[in-house]
Amino acid sequence: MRPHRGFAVAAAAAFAMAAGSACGPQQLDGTLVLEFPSWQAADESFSAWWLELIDAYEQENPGVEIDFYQVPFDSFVAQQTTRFAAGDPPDVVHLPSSNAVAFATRGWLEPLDERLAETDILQEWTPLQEQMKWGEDYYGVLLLGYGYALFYNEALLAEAGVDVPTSPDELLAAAEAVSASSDDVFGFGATTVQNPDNYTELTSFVVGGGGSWSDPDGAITADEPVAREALQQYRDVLATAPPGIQSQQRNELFFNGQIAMLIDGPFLLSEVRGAPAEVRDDLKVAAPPFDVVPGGVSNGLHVPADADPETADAVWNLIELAARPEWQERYTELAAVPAPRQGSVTEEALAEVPELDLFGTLADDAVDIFPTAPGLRQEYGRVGDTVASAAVRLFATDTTVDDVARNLQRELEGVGHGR
Amino acid sequence: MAGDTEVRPSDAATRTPGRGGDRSPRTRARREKIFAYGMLTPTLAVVGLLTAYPIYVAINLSFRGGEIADLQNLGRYPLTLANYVEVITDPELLADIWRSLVYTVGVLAPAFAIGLGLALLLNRTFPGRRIVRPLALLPWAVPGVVVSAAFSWMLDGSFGVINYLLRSVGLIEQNVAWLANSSTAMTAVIIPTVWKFYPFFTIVLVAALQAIPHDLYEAARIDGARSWQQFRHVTWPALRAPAALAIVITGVGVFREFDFIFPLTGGGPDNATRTLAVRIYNEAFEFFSFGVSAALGVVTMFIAGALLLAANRAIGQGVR
Repeated sequence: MRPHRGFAVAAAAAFAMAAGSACGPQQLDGTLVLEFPSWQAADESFSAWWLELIDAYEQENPGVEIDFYQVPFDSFVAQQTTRFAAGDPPDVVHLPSSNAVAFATRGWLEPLDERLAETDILQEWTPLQEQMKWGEDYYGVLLLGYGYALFYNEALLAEAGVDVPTSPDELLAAAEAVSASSDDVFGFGATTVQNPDNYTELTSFVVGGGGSWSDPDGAITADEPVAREALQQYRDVLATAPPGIQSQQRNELFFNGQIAMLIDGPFLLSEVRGAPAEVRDDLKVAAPPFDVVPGGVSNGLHVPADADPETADAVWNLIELAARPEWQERYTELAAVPAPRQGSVTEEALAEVPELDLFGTLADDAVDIFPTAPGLRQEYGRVGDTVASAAVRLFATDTTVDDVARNLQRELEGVGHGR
Repeated sequence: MAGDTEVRPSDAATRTPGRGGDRSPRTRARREKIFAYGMLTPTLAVVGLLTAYPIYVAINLSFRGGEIADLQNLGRYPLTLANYVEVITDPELLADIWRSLVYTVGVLAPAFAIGLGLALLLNRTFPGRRIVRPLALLPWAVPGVVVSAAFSWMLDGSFGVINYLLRSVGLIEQNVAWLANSSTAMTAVIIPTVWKFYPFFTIVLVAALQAIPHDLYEAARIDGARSWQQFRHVTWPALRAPAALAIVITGVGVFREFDFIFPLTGGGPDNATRTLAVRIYNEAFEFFSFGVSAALGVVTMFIAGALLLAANRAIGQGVR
């Protein structure tokens, strides 16, 4: 063979291999390799559970391997969107739950009703599983639903002479008292630059006060008195927060003893345990200071719509394994958050993490902060962006609450129109 | 060498062409041109394909309606002008274009001024020049996202070093939340972009400065020209063309810049830093509106092209 012809053959073979590796599951020596990108592959709270689960899966399913790898959360949805749009989805689909409906409505996810009917998932799961539903079908299995909790620094509250707040008014009074007690500490911590977290933080106040952005039929209610009151509470409380910080910076300040209170999901607890020793024992958790417990759906597992039957079955087997009681209990033990299957909090886990009792109660009582109206769920990206802009106007401008509420009402009414 | 005979021009001109020889200078020139294009063809084909195909997909996508979910089969979706109608009738478009222009000019002016000043400095001989030169050009080698991460901490509203320095010298009394405030956010994204781009101007201008013959400065000095006059009549005319080219290249790059704005502000607060590039990203990946995003991309391409043509014309006139 002449050299240049050999080169051409080698190049063609390399191209074919590359092309093959970019489409669908790989078959290596008869082994089915499932691609599983996740933002939790290197996460200190969740990666241990995933690795144990995958190891058990591979032992239970000889001939199937899972390629589990890390994709940064900041670019995760954009990467998955690109891959689905280009017809090259991953095999195991792990998505932030707020984006799941947008993927389902584009026909990218397989309806799972028939598969779910053969399990006890729908009977035993948290009611927040309903967020995996679009129309008449379920498109995923929720892995984490939670109620928001109040994380606080006991020492800072004591120094300011205030108790743990149980209402928005008490929260504001406590935050102001802490901020007034020293120039180096802040009463409350929040994301005070524009960020998707603005949506969750502001909406927690709205839902906590008994409001929402819309009624179930989709009529926008951002201008209702209950929503306005929540916007005012959010503005007042955030006036005691450090300006211009991201959520990670907020957490660092809390762990360093410079922020007295913040509201977040139970997953923050594992990070709290890594706080400096001199602060760690002062960091406690309580129910959020609202009448209604605001809650959220974190993430779920899905099967891609156009997967071949063998791959779809293999992916479902992983989901089904993850949903079994023993793995749900292990999830609670390793991630220190209540798993979605009822009764997953074991005595051992409770002894290790007493806060799980509270987290379980909050998850049971939680009202979802994500939109319930179909139109808003489908356009969650635009809704989140619109609410985040309103949040910025509240903490970074002098725009009146009435004007912010009116603008938000108008902008949310325009979401999805003309599309 | 023995046996060699010197060929005089007159001999070459009167030689009878043998087999394979050139029949005439014109024929030879044509053959050379064909050969040159033949050699360039593979490169031109690859570059053309890599440039043209994505543009074709973007334009095709921009004319497609419905819930686009499969970019490999765009033919499934109906042809429509709705995306362009939505983009062009959107009152936000003008604001996005304006912000893109403010960002571009806001970066170009200081980056060019710093780059020129530094080039004039580095063109002189002084102790430690060998160390200062690479250090001054270092920002050019740092990825944009890394620059953004560093500046996000420096610009931090509560504990950032920039607020500390400004407070130390008495320029501000209270901390400024640079990235959270609509009135300061654009400045906050311009600063790191300037830091990243000024070395390019320095590199180009130092190269141009070193090509200026010293005789010209000597002649100017003999004629009594002072430093400013030397700069105005000797240095600047030599720098004008490369400076203009560098401004155009950088300007087009900055106009569609994404790396700095998105990590720092995501286009916020309250859309204060939402340039066309950020808007295109948001439409596609936050809102899943691929058609609108592509239409915006095409509009941006036309705006950038028009600016490029205008700049080229200005450069041509300036150089002449």
